[in-house]
Order: sequence, then structure tokens, then C-alpha cells
Amino acid sequence: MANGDQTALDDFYRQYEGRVYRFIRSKLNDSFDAADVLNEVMFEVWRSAGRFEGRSAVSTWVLGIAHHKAIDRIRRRKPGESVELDPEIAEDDSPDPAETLSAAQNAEQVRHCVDQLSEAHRSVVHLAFFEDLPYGEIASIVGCPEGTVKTRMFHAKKALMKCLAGLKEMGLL
Amino acid sequence: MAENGKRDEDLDLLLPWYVNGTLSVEEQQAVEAYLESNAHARDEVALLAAMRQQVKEESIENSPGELGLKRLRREISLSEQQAPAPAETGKVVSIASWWRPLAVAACLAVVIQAGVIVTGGPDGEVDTAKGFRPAVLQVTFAPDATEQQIREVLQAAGTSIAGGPSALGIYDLSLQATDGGSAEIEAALAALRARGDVVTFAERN
Repeated sequence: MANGDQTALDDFYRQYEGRVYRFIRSKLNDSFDAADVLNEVMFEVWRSAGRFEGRSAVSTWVLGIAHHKAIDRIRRRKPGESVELDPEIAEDDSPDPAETLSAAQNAEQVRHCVDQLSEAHRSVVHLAFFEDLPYGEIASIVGCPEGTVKTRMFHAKKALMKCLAGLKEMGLL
Repeated sequence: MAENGKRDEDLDLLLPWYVNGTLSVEEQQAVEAYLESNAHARDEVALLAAMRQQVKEESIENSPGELGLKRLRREISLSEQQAPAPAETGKVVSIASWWRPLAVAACLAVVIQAGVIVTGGPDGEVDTAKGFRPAVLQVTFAPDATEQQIREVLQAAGTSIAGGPSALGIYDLSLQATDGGSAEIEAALAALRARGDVVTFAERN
């Protein structure tokens, strides 16, 4: 692909577009925007393939590009607003994990609660639970220290538990 | 005591990666020892495993697939008409090695443009170099149309902006399909005219 081989681009696209699209979609919550950003990501891959040095896995590299392009899109969507990076969440009244377990087994409710998370938290949940990536690789993709990835996941978990417990209390489960 | 508390907090942070199976052997052993003595942590692991299962099974709408690939190829092709190939970018080359091909390309562009002007027929169907798409339509957009609306309309009609705007705000459009014939031009016109809220004028070139 670095030599301008379009067949290589086709192969790359077919191999990664599903994963990349899903990651972008999880960040943007909008399929139309996600398709647009996917196109931008693949175009960037095509333009910069020659600069890929193989220091990370190809998937880490392309998901990293996707992360930055999605953040750019969010910033353009909301001019003047900063991207939420790691909001603090009150955790003192966290529900008991055993009590929210049944709620976590309902796909629709889990999706609803994941959608309520901030973009930064959704990304980490997606990369840890859908992509099954180690925290070090997630840190490379989203461009932050490993400790930040862990605390984002910790806050995301607490927020999900709270959301699921709330749905349970309302009798939606 | 405080050290144990800190250690437990650190191990709590690792639980999601214990669940997805990506911890190092050392970390995994530490978490397993922690789980043996901590029922709350075991409940959290069960909860995280259930969440992970649901995230994995979540069905979302299909990705763009082959349509997305066509769009990508089209945009690469357009960009390559305006810029050097990716293999060329980022390379340090001497002036002597790049000015000649650049000059040839510039001359070729002039020749092709002249060819279009000379040979263009009444329907805008012209013989062109491979990959060059003639402007076959002219449009004007509503003053309050947004970039997103214009993009949607152009994509729906299978067209790209080839030139303009003129002093009167007229844009030239080409068909994205390289061999668009009269029927394709009519279909594109119909699609443009169907969006009267965005396109205020649409005619053959």
C-alpha cells in the first residue's frame, strides 16, 4: 500500500473496515457521521502508509487514527465545546455488583447505559470488551497514560452499574 | 494496612482486563489471589463478564462495506488528479528530479483542457483522457444550504463539483461514474431537482 498499490488498499479496507467503523460508531453514536469518518480514516491510511514504522500492531495504528478523526468530528460538531476527557463521577453510592448482575445480562439495557457514557468512557469500554485489547494497547490508541485508561474504565464501570441499577429500580428490567 | 488498601485498589483497576484475558501472568496471578479472599471483587468480575458479553453481542447497523470502498477509491482517484501519488509524498528529492515530470504534467493538463473545450458536444459528452470527468451539469445552491445538505445532495445524485462558483454562484458538476451517458445525466438532474430546498437551479452544461 505504501507504494500506491490499490489492491493492497482494497484488502486492507475489507479486513479492517468493520472493526474501525464499529469503533467510530461507538464514539460518535451516529451512523452517518461514522461512515464519513471511516472514509477519512481509510484515506489517511492510504496517504500515510509509507510512514507506518511497524512499532505497533497495524490494528493499534489504524484505531489510533480513527480515535483522532472521531475526536476531530466531535469538536466540529460542537464548536466551542471541549471534548470530555475524564469526567469525575460520584461513586459513594455505587450499587452492589451482585444486585446489578441480572440487569447486566439484558443486552438492550446494557446498550442504553453504554450510550449514556461520555465518549472517552465508551471508547475504553469498547476497546476493552469488544476488541479485548490490553490496557497498554488502549493507551496507545487513545493517546493517554495507562493509568488514565484504568481509571476511565473504573469510572465507566461505576456509571454503568448506577445506570443499570436505576433501570432496575424503575422496573424496566 | 494502608498499603493493602492501595494494593486492593490497584487490583480492582485490573479486573476488566482480567475478564478480557489480557493481563500478564504476574498480574493474573495477583488478581486470582485477590479474588480468593474478596467476595465483592468476585461479584464485580461476574458483573464485568456479563457486561462484556452484552457489548460483544450488541448488533449495530451494517458498516458501509463495498459502497464505502467505492467511495474511498473515488476520492483517492480525485485526489491523485490534483496531487502526487502517496509513494511520492514525504520523500526528499532534488529539484532536478521533480521539475521535469511536474512540467510535463502541467503541459498535459493544458492539452487535456484544450481538448475538452475543442471537442465538447452539445450534451457535454466528450472524449477525454482516462479518469478525467467532464463537467456536464450546472447548478446553484440555496443561500442558506449547509455544507452537509450540499454534500448529501451531490452524493445522492452521484455528482462532484468540477468547477466554480462563477460570479453568479454557478457550480459545474461532473458525474462520479466515468462513463456517464445521457440517461445518467438525466437521473442526476432529477435527483438534484428533487431537492429544491438545496438546489435552486440545475441544468445540463
